[in-house]
Amino acid sequence: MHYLQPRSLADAASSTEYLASAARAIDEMRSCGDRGEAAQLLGDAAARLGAEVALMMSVMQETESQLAHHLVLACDPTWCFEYERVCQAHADRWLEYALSHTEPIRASELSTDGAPDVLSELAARFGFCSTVIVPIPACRRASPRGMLCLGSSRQGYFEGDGFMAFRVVARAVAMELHEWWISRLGRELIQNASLGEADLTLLGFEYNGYGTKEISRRLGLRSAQIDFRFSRISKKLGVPGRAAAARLAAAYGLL
Amino acid sequence: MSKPQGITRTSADGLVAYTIAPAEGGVHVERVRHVSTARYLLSARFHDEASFTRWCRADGLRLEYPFLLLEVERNGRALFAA
Repeated sequence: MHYLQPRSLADAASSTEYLASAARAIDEMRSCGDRGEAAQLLGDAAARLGAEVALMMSVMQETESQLAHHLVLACDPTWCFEYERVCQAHADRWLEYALSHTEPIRASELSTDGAPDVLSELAARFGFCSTVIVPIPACRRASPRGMLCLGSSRQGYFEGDGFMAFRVVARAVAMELHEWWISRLGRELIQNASLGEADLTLLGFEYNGYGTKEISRRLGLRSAQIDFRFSRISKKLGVPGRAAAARLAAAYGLL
Repeated sequence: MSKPQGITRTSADGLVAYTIAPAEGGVHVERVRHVSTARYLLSARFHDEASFTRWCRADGLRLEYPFLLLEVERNGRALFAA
């Protein structure tokens, strides 16, 4: 789907259709079951908000020792290689901001402490000449966090009027997109590991700190059965133990 | 149901995998890379063969996994041609 790029953010955000259009993007997303549609959905949502390019990053602690970064791109995909290269050598200030704040910010407002702004210079080559970083905070303990970055190839595009309406809507869209993404990953985890309702119940007990004895009492099962079930679940998830299994399930929003 | 249906190609060491699937108006690609204690997943949509080919050739992993990348490129181009 193609959207006309508005003359200015103020034009886009002052349209009577602005909020309704963003709501339609969320509606379409909810009815879409395929994770392969993520980049398309992200691009559509960005266009409805008045942006030209977008990326969404999700960071989740899958196990005690493994951190996962998920990057969905609605821009030139070669950006990811340059981004990896730059962020290996320099800090990713956008992500740093997003992981420690909740309010959207223009990239131009982030302090560089006098250092050259390598990330913004690179981003500009990929259509992020003017960029807004929308943090996506964790909604539950251990759940993933992330950011939505929305960009325009026009310098100063996000600096003018209309930013307040934009940031309100962008925040909502960011949360919805992220939840959609995580829920699809969660379904996939359940499917790949063939987890059932009973498995998730057990993991929920573990996650909330219940020991074998208490779980067996609550479920009316023998302790050995509980331990056996946990061992089977951990094996299916490919993690070393029940604590890791519960953490992984929680990271994917299953608990 | 939710995982993109398509062709997955994994490196012999299991550290890198690409999934390529047909998608509305193009091809969807997922690239997963394991680096010590981190896992990086990239999800992107290509609308034309030229941008997909350019992306494959710009991938720094091409140096470490030349045959894998060639196969990914070939599979992707076949999807565009289909």
